[in-house]
Amino acid sequence: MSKTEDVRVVYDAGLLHESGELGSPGTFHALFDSLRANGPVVRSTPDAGFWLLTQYETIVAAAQNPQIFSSASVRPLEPDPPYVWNPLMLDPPEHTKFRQLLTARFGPARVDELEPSMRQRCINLIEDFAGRGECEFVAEFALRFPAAILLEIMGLPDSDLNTFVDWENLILHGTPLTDPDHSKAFGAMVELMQYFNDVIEYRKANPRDDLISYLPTCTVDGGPIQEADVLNILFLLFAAGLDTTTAQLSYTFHHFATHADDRNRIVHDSSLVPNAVEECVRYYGIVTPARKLTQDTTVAGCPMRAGDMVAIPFASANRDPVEFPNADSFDLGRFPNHHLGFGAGPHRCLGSHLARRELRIALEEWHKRIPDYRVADGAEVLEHGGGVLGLETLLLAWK
Amino acid sequence: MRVSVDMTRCQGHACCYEFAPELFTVDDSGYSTIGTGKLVPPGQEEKARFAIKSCPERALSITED
Repeated sequence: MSKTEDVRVVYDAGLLHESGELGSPGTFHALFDSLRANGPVVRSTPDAGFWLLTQYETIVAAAQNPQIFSSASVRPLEPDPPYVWNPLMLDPPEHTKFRQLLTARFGPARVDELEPSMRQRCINLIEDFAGRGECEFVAEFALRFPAAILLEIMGLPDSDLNTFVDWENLILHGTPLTDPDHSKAFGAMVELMQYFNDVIEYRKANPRDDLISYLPTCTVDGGPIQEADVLNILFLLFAAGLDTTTAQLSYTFHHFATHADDRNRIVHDSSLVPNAVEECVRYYGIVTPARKLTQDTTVAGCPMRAGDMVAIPFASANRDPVEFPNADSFDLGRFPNHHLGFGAGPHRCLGSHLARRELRIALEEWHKRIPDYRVADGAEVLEHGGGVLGLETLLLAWK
Repeated sequence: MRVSVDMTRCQGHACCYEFAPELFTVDDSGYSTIGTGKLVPPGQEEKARFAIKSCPERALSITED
């Protein structure tokens, strides 16, 4: 059998990409496990079709090689998008010019500075509902906590949090039922961009030490940054930074709500929390970007052509048994843990330092106040697929 | 034991710093600043090995004196 015939055509893209189908938690990770068992490369055949890599080794290599695996498109069924998210869809060296403007603003030292304020925001959110004995975790905590912190980083007032979360829901979480012609999403996007524009203009006259004051003062290629690029970057931070952290928080708390032994261990020994964060990000990988080939290439013996789309599910890499002993077990003591939950290569998650700290603070502060909780009786927990996996709702209850 | 970083691979994850900040220094953006051949104090070898294995980019390496 030739290497080409090794490629199994088993994969229906509809299961993964924006079909709106829901499953019980674990549905999509089980799908990746079954795809990986079929081989290192699978082909999705509906619509334009795309390749999907299943193993850690090939996924990390693709992420680290933008010369061949371009980010000109990052969605597997959209090879020629009519938009460019900056810097997510740029390749080096263009990517580097914009990325380097942002890295220190989201780096480890900046996160240390933000920590006291992040912790207080987290405590306030939890104490709002702790006495009630239940909460809808996704809407009341997982959406609001990262959004509140992003508002602070950007320099936007706390009073805009509800509006910000509403825009996020309309822009990122519309379904064929709620927004069939995307008009609600489009309307919200226009409002959001106008809002950013107004704040940019205001901050030019009244600058502070925040992201919206800083970005328009940046220099690119020896000249002032274009206003369109500033707006584009702000929109990307909004679109990429909120949904992902919300999903990661939701999976993490669903895990501890349904695994009492793991929960008791972190309740009684908070020094386990940093390791717990890494294992949650590994075990519940959520992001599946794609890359577009700039030239013919071969991956794991499979020939591919220039222009082909290649999906690189980090969730699949993170449960590859070649890289991780007992890869399909959640292990609080796993160390070291070189997971790809935050990706790899030049597009490594810009917010990884922030997200790690948010997850750590949430686990610490929640379990000080609500050590014993469960999924509420009769509550159904549903998972959505797509480029970013996540939980639709998570009703938690405690005494 | 000495540790080195390959700056063509380092992407600023700062996982090394997260687990062994006294050994693996980083800049404000998270990129390693250990350079080439940084000496690991005696007794810290195991920690250094674990921190190196936690790098998703495989940017860190060890050389034994």
